[in-house]
Amino acid sequence: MANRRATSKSAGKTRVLLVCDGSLCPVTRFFQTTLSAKQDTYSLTLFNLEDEDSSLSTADGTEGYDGFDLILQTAMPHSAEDLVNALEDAGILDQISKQSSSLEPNPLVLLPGFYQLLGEGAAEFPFPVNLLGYSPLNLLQPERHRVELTYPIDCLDEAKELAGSFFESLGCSVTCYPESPGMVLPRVLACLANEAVSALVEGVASASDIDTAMTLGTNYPMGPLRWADKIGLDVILATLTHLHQVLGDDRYRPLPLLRQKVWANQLGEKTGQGFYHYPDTAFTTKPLLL
Amino acid sequence: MPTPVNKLPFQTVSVLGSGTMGAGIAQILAQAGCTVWLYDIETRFLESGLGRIQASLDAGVAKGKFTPEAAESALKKINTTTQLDLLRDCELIIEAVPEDLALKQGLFQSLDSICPANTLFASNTSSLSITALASATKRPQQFAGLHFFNPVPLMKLVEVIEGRQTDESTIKQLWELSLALNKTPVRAKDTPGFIVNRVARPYYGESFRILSDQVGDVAMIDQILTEAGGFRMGPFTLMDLIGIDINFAVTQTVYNGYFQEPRYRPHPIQAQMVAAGLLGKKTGQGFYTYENKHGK
Repeated sequence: MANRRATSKSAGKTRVLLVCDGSLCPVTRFFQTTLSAKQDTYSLTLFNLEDEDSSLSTADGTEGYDGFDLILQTAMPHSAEDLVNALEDAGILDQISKQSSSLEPNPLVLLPGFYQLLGEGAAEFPFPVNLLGYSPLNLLQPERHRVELTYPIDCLDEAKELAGSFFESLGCSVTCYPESPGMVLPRVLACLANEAVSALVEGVASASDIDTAMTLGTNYPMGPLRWADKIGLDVILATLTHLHQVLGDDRYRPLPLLRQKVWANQLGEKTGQGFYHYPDTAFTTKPLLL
Repeated sequence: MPTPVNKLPFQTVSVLGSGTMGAGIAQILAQAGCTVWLYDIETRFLESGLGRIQASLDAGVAKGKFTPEAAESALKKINTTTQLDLLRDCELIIEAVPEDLALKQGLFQSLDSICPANTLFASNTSSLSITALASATKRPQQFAGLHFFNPVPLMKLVEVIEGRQTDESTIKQLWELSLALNKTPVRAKDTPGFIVNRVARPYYGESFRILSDQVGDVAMIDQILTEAGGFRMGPFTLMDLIGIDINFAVTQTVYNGYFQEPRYRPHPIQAQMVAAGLLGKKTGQGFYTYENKHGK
């Protein structure tokens, strides 16, 4: 079983399906850049989760694929259900199912693990997968290479090792622990953002004064509202909603202003407007294979 | 063109309390050119406060931040007293005594009858209500919060806090003073914890919950928040530095100030650490162990 995955590799490469959201967010850019730089080890295929007519694009320009070893989702805050539906609509799931029927365990799936339950996520797939959650929030800023990995209680040790060595091969250090709602950094950041929003809503101070206070008064690397804009207000809201639902504690109740911003598509950097305005957001750029 | 220098809105300022914060505030006022009256209840506290200021100025000179002459002239600007009556000619009183509402209110009440009607009152409290402090005086319009951060000479931030009855000219003068002291002021309404001590609550609160969920130990949580988040210090290292008792007290103040709002609920681990006398660096043992009791 240990070598099963190795045998499924084409020409010795790990075939990665990178599921992004059609914008060149820093997380997608990180994986694109680092995986493309390791063409001897990885073959990379991109899939846009949000584009209904999306076809797969591969590094060597050929259409199509012959199966995947790793499905890596960078699109946020899409659920495992969104992922499976999009792959199904594009006909990719059938192909993987065929591949999977003869192979156990099936593709390793890595998806954002802080706004959904991993066990529920794994159950969305029509074939068994080894699924782990990760937090890409460190990748939003340079030089923060510690990645959090989290796994459901029935995760295979082999899958944990594979996931860990995948990130290590990209130059990341890894902290791996059993599933915990919101993970560590995303939980803390979502709650800091919610608290900053509550201070804003109460009229305690302006958004920029709140951020200035937290960077100068307690040395945060970024003000919580500016940071929330970078992460995406939809991602912050999804994290808080998940924590609220799973832990049932009122401390995680998202401020209504967060919902209003999300409904208005003021998601932060990626839409050009959040708590601040971003006239030249780089996120409008479509991802392209390098 | 030379950078315009912000004009000092006050020439003579009193600082009440010669502890770490009071000494720091007195130092930067004197360096900016104010005549400072440093008040405390006993001469030995004043001497120790002056000692802190001297040490801080010496360190600044050693680092080449200012000349020995500048340090000496700043020190000469600081007068000390244990008599409140002598503060009657100050244009501004900045209070930095221990965080005890009755103690602070008592001082302001006395000064209210000593000082002329146009003297401004400010408190450096980090968590008590400015409105409640102002209520001890007959001049709540001329009363505001002026919250500096430790160490005062180094930290750029000042929270200028508007009480329920504070008038705009009071805020404006304190804002100008902050700029003249080369600080970055932010404006906040009088609410529990103001900005920093309120918005920072989840950094500790969530970390405690992650710890008690057995996700990892304090070192692992600190490592994730510093290496993945870019925070300068992990929450447990930071609490050890601040003092676990101090941090717990702030948490309780904000929690009770918001009438038991669940977002601010303290964690039993905090109460237990305090009960055990494990207060952090200052006791040699907090979430981590420190070889030297003073954490050096």
